[in-house]
Order: sequence, then structure tokens, then C-alpha cells
Amino acid sequence: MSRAASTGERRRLAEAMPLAPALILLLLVYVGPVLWFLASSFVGNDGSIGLHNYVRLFGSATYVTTIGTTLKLAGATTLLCVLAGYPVAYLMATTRAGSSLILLVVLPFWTSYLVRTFAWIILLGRNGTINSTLISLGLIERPLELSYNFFAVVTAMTHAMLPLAILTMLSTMQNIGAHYGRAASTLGARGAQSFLRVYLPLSMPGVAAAALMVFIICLGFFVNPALLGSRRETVITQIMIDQLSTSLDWGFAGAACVLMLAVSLAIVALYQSLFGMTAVTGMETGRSQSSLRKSISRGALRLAGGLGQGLSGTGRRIEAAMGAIGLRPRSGGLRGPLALLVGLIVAFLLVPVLFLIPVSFTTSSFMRWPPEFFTLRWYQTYLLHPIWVSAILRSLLVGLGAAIIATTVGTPAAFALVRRRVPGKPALMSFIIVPMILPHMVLAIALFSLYAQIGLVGSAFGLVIAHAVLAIPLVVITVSSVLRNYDQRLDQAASVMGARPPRVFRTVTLPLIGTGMISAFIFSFISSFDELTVSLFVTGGLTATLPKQMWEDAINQVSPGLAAVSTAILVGLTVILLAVALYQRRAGSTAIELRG
Amino acid sequence: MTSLPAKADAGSGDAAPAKLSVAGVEKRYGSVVALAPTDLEVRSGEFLTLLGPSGSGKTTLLMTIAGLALPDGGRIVIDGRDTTYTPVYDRDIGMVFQNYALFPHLDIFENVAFSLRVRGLAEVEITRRTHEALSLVQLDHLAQRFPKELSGGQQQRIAIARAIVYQPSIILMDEPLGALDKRLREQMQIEIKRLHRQLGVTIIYVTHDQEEALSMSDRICLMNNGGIVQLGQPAELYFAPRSLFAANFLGEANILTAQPGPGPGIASAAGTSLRFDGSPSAGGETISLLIRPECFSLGMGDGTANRLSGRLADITMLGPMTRLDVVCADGTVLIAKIPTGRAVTELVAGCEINLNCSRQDVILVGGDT
Ligand SMILES: Nc1ncnc2c1ncn2[C@@H]1O[C@H](COP(=O)(O)OP(=O)(O)OP(=O)(O)O)[C@@H](O)[C@H]1O
Ligand SMILES: [Mg+2]
Repeated sequence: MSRAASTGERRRLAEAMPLAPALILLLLVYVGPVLWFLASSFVGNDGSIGLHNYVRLFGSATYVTTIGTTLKLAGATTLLCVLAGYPVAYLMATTRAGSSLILLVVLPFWTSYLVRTFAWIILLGRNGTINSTLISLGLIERPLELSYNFFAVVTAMTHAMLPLAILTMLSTMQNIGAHYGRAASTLGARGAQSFLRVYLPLSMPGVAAAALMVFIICLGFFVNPALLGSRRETVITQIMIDQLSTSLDWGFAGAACVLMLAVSLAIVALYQSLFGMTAVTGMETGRSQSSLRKSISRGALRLAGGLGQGLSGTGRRIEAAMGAIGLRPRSGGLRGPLALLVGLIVAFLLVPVLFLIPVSFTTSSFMRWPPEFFTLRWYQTYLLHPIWVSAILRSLLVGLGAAIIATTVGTPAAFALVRRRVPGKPALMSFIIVPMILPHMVLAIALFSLYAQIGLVGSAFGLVIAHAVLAIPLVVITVSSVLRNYDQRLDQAASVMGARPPRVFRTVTLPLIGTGMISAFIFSFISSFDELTVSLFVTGGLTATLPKQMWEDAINQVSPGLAAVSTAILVGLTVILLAVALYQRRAGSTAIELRG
Repeated sequence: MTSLPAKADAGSGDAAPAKLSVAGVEKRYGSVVALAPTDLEVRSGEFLTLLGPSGSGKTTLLMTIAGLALPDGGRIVIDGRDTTYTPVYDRDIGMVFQNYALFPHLDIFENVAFSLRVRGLAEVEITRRTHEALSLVQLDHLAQRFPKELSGGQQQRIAIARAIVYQPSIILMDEPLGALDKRLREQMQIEIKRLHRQLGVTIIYVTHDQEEALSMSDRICLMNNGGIVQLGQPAELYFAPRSLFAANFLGEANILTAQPGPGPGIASAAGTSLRFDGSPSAGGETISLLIRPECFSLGMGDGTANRLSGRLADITMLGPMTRLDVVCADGTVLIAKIPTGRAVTELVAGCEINLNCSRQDVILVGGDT
């Protein structure tokens, strides 16, 4: 009996083995350093143990204001992202034309947020696009103060986070089959009713997931506040960077870090008790719902239903009136305005970045509008300068390394999580995605402190490992979502027909999930290529990655050279993403030659 | 549920070798018993149907036979070889999945050719046999299409072609016609039977449609609650059900609760005394008697037959048969199906009628009450 039990346990352990590399990496490079570092927040400057750092943090009015500003910026951005993102995601999920928009959202999603911030500097600056246009049109006489205020920071942050919000909501909405809507309408619910009673409640987990991700990531933002904000928009991460670069005050940074973590974890916990992690991880976590969640969703349903009742009553009267004057109500009469709105939002996503391109050819030494043409000087002085060349090369290599590690470690983990009978799956999944949901700043500082002690600061290896850990959640989520949609009976069919496991994998599984793995690899690469926070710390003072080089250049002076670099990045990225999209389309529609 | 797993091969005295034998196989998912210890023998070339309500363990039994689920106990022997733990790919089994499971990235030809490629056959041979299999299901002209470009019925046939192309000696089918409409289903039933005769393979077929089971099978294995309730030829299950569950699951049934006696082979029910074959195991208790609706005839009978009288409550013409709902004096409701004819059309609801049935048509249901 006990033997049977122990073999049973052994089998379960063996089932979980593919998870081991990912978990070990996470423990060593994420959890361990972060916990260690957080513990240091309880050690004062003089080495005594206590809450000194917290007293300092909450004792100073400046810091408390900073915390307030951080929360306010994150909250405003989240609200805007959800409001603007929902119609876009809805249109993409429900119409064929909408689904072709996906590339237009994915493109800005993967565009470096430094690049996107630079775009806003051009647009909103005193001599920026908007001001010059308005002046030349004679609408205003003196330039408006568009930048260095709350508005500018929130606009740029919304621009940065909107694609993430859209894609998160989209992934939930895509799982809401059109048949629900049809079923609702056969049950007598008209447009607004069907939307508010069926679609909205079903899409809520996605909305909440988007809000969660946006809010938490915003807590760690510092690029936009630093480049587009005034002193009043100073956020907590800026204070942390300051403290560390001027006084190496670890304890204080640790306390700020704990605060950030506590807020993030509280939000995650709230979210999880309301919705479960399904919409974030894509992993079904079982049917059990907390009573809080049940009562809230019941209340929300009733509210939405009542609203729907009212709206559809109005709709019915309008239809009746239209019928009376001989107009036939078209189904989807709201599509036109909706498409227009979505068009505007997508333009907001795409267009600002385009203004960087002409500026990169300006002969002026400032990022100013309109650009004065034409010189390639910026490309020469920046892209060919040894510092920039080495930064670019370093970023490429680090990105490749991180993507390789993340894909090789994350893919087996995804397989185990989806296919194997591993105990505690939801918890494991939540654990694996921790690096994605918590602000990068937490890892950045923790690793900096660890690397400083073991002499890894400034090493490419240290950076690759750090970026790999950040990319593992991307790989696990991407690959497991493909695996979940994968009908395992295909594998069973293949093995019944005599194919051994390696062959099943090679001829059936891999061709069907291959696009998912390639996407995961490319996403990992881009996320590393674009990563600033962690690089800022663990590369030390001298070696730089491309984003770090751009950042340091930008805080000195925003010159058109940055527009040149940005343009180069844009072009490279667009090429990569178009290639991926083309490849996926081809792989989706035609057979892959798999003979023999 | 009956506690005794039905013994396979009961009384049919056929000496054909056992193709597949399942001995004491069981499967649990946590605390759920998906399959209680089960014994089953399938003869070579037989068409055996696993029939039972949803959740009765049909798929589970099929999966353990295929090797797609490992049993928690028991043995599976194919052709005298213990294959309990043989990997799926070495079992010489073909399988048709409920949703067909055609490979979406391969065209029809490659789907069917898959097993041949795995076995490393020569290209010429692959082409020949693939086209042969496709011709058998009359879809050779669709070889270049992709699965999603086919109708449900066509995909179904391709799934069958794919399962037979490498000539496995056992083919498992899990509700292969579940997704098809009635007409197409009947057409495919005929086609599957034709293939079965033509190829001489052993087929284990899962369905929860009792008509399908009755019309296609050599033997039916009736399952309930994760165990075999009864195993036998369709007529056996239909006319000699061993339990009320079996009696009710196959076809329509009049079940009469009766007091045995006086004397052997006699019992009183529905306000009259009925004669039947066989004798109940223990005296004194009530017994259940089964009369199939189509076993009744109208009129006075020949005196040796059982006669039940009552008031005709309802009459429904079903086509070749007419259904009569008769309420006996003691309130028992009987359903009778009589060939539609002049004698029947003259009846009107409310009149008193007599229903006759022979002693052999009154069946003692052995088992649970
Ligand atoms: N993977 C599983 N985990 C837990 N329980 C399972 C699993 N697979 C089957 N079961 C349970 O085992 C029992 C038998 O299931 P099985 O699929 O064999 O039924 P079935 O006879 O094929 O039913 P149906 O006609 O609906 O297909 C059911 O109670 C089912 O809930
Ligand atoms: Mg089943």
C-alpha cells in the first residue's frame, strides 16, 4: 500500500519535472533576491533593525505626495486605457474587419515605449507639432503648455499601455462565442440588452485583467513622468533611482519597494478573489467562486440587465418610429459610429510615432516641428558611433540569449501545466507569471543588490538571465494558450495509428503549435530588446543596452539623434512583426510539407 | 447496479477465438469510479456495441482498451498477448474519434496516409493503399482537400478510412455518428456494417442510441454506473433482460409488478392472472414481468394465451404500427403496438378491448426490483 503510494507520488513528481527548470530559475533569480532585498528594508543606515526606513518614507510629506502622485497617474491611465481599449477589443473580437486590426495594435504594443515617449515630446513640446500647427493656422498666438504636466504624462502613459489593455481584453472576448449573442437574441434580447446582459458580463474578467496589468505596470513607470512631467509628477520609482544613484541607500529603496509590492499584491489578491487568474493566465482554475465574487457579479448582472432593459426600451421606440416613417432598422446600426471611434483610437495609437521619422532628418539640433530638411547627420553620428553600435549589438545578443533561455525553459513548463496532472496548477501558474505582473523595478533593484555582491554587475550573463526570467511568463502564457486550444485527441489519433511519442511531437504537435513557439520566442526577444528598468541597474555604470543608452541620452538632452535611433528601431521591428504575421498566415492556411 | 459483472460469451457456444479479453479492468479518477472491475471477451470479427447512458463508462472502457488511459487494475489481452501496459502505438488498433480528430494541417490524403508513413512503407504502396481506403469510403475525389473543407459526414468517412487503412484487426469507434443527423446516421450505419463485413475486422462500437445498437451489433454490452449490466445478442437483451434497467433501456416496455402463484409459472397482475415461462427464484415476494408492446394482439385469443382487458384510453397511428394506450381495471396502463389494419382503425377511444399475448411473451425480469 505504502509502496503504491510512494510510486504514485514519484509519478506525480515525474509529471511535474518539466516545470523544474523554470521554477528553479524563478526561485534563484527572482524570489530569492527579491525577498533578500526586501528584508534589507528593515535594516537602517546604522545597521539597526527596525522600521526606520518606513518612518522616513511615510514621515516626509514629499514622499507621501509622491506615492499619491504615483497612484493617481496609474489610476487615471488605467481608467483611460480600459475605456478606450474596450471598443477596439470589442470590434476586433466581433467582426471580421475588426480582426484584421490586430497587427495595428500589436505593432505599437511591441514598439519601444522610449520611442513612443519621444514621439510625445515632439507632439506636445513648446515648439512641438501641435503648437506649431495651431499657431500656423492662426488659432493661437502663444504656444500652449501641453507638456511638463499631468495631462502630458497621462496621455503618454495611456498611449504606452493601451495596446496591452486591448490585447488582454481581446483574449477574453475572443473566447466569447458569437453563439451567446445569437442565443440571447433568440431569447428576445435586442442589441443593447444582449450586449449588457450577456457580452459585458462575460467580458468583465478581461476588462479587470487589463485594468490589473495596466495599473501595476504603471506603478513602476518612470520614463514618462521624467521626460514629460514637471516636478509635481515625480513618481516613487524616480525617488528610488535617485536614492540609489546618489546615496546607495538600499534600505530606503527597499522600503519603497515593499510599498510598491504591497500595493501590487493587494490588487492582485483582490482581482484573484473576484475573477480568479483565468483572464491573466488563460488557465482555467476550477469552478469554485468566492462568495464575494458571486455577490458582486450578481449585483453587476442585475445592474447591467436593468440598464439593458432601459436602453432596449428606447431602442424599441426608435425602431417603431423608424418603422412608422418607412425606414427599416438595420442590424448593427451602431457599427458605423463604433468603427469611427475605433478608427480614431487606433490612429491615436499609431500616428504619434510617425512624427519621429521626419524629425530624424532635420538639420536643426532640436526636436522641433516642423523639421528642417534634409540631413543624414543624425544617423551618422548616432547609429555609427561606437557607443551606440556596441549598445545595439549588446541588446541584440542579450535579447537572443534571453529569448533562447526563456523559450527552452518556458515551453516544457507550459506543457506540464496544460497536459500533465500536476498538483496545485493554478498556484504554479500564478507563481510563474509573477515577474510579469509585478513592477520590473522590484526585480531591478533586488538583482542589482545581489549582483553587486557576487560581482555580476555589468556582465552580459547577469542581464541575459534577468531578462530571461522576465520573459518566461510570456513564453508560458503564449505556448500554453496554444496548447489549450490544441485538441489532444489529435495526438491520441496519431499514436493509435502507430506513431511513437517523438514522432507524434514532430509530425503533429509541433507543426500545430510551432507558430505559437516562434511567437513566444520573438516576443521574448522584443521584450528584452526593449527592457530598460532592469538594464538600467544591473548593467552598472559603463556598459549600456540600447534602451539604456537612449534613456541616458534623453535625460541629458532630447536631440533629433534619438528620433533617428527610434526610426531605425521602428523599421526593424515592423519588418520582424510583418514577417511573423506573414509566416503565421501562411502556416495557418496552407499545409506544411511534412512528408516522411 | 447489478453486483455481478456479466460473464462474457454467455451460452452462445461459439468456438471462435477471443480476439480481445478484458479481465477485471478498472479505472478511477480520484474518488470517481469511472469503470468498476470489468470482464469482457470479444471474438474475432465480431461487432460489439458498448451501450449505456451518459457517464456509464463506455469511453473509459474504450480508452483503456486502446491504451490511451492506463487502467488502475486488471488485464487486457489482445490475440493472447498481454497488452495492458503496451504503449498505444504498438497495439494494432484503429480508432475513430467522436469529433473525428482529423489533422487540420494535413490534407485528406496525408491524413489517411499518416499511419502508413509512420510504418515506413514505400511511396507506391502508400499511394495505392491510401487511394484504396479512400475509395472504400467513396471519397477518393476529395484527397487534396483539407479537413475543414469537408462536411461532417465526409469528415466522418475520412476518419473511418484513416482507421482502416493500415488494416488493424480491432477498430474502436466512440460514438462515431453522434454529430450526424438522423438520415446521414442511418446511411453511415449501413456503410459501417458493409465495411465490417467486407474487411472482417473486429469492431467495438460505442453508442448511447439503443436503436443503433440493436440494428448493428452482433452482441451488445449494456453498461450502467461504470459496470457491465448485461452482455448478449440484441434479441437476448431485448427479450430476456436480466434487470429492470435493461428492460427499460432497450425499446419500450410494459413492466408489471406481479404476485407469484398460485403454482409455478403463474402470477397475478393487472387484475388478471398471467402465465409465463420460468420460475422466480424465491417465492412470496413480488416479481416483475415484461411484455413488449408489439407482443400483444387484439381479439379473443385462442384460450391458451394470456388475456388482459381494459379501456382504450388513447390510440395513435405511428405508420405501419398503431399504438394503443389501455387502462386496466386496477389502473395499470399498458402500451400495445398492433400492425395498422382494418381491425385497428375501427377502434375508438373509450371502448373496452382485450389484449392477448402468449405465455412466451410474458418475460420474467430477473434481477433488481
Ligand atoms: N478525466 C476524468 N476525470 C474525472 N472523471 C472522469 C474523467 N473521465 C471520465 N470521468 C468520469 O467517469 C465516468 C465515466 O465516464 P465516460 O466518459 O467513460 O462515460 P461515457 O459512458 O463515455 O459517457 P458519454 O455517453 O456521455 O460519452 C463519468 O462519471 C465521468 O464523469
Ligand atoms: Mg463517451
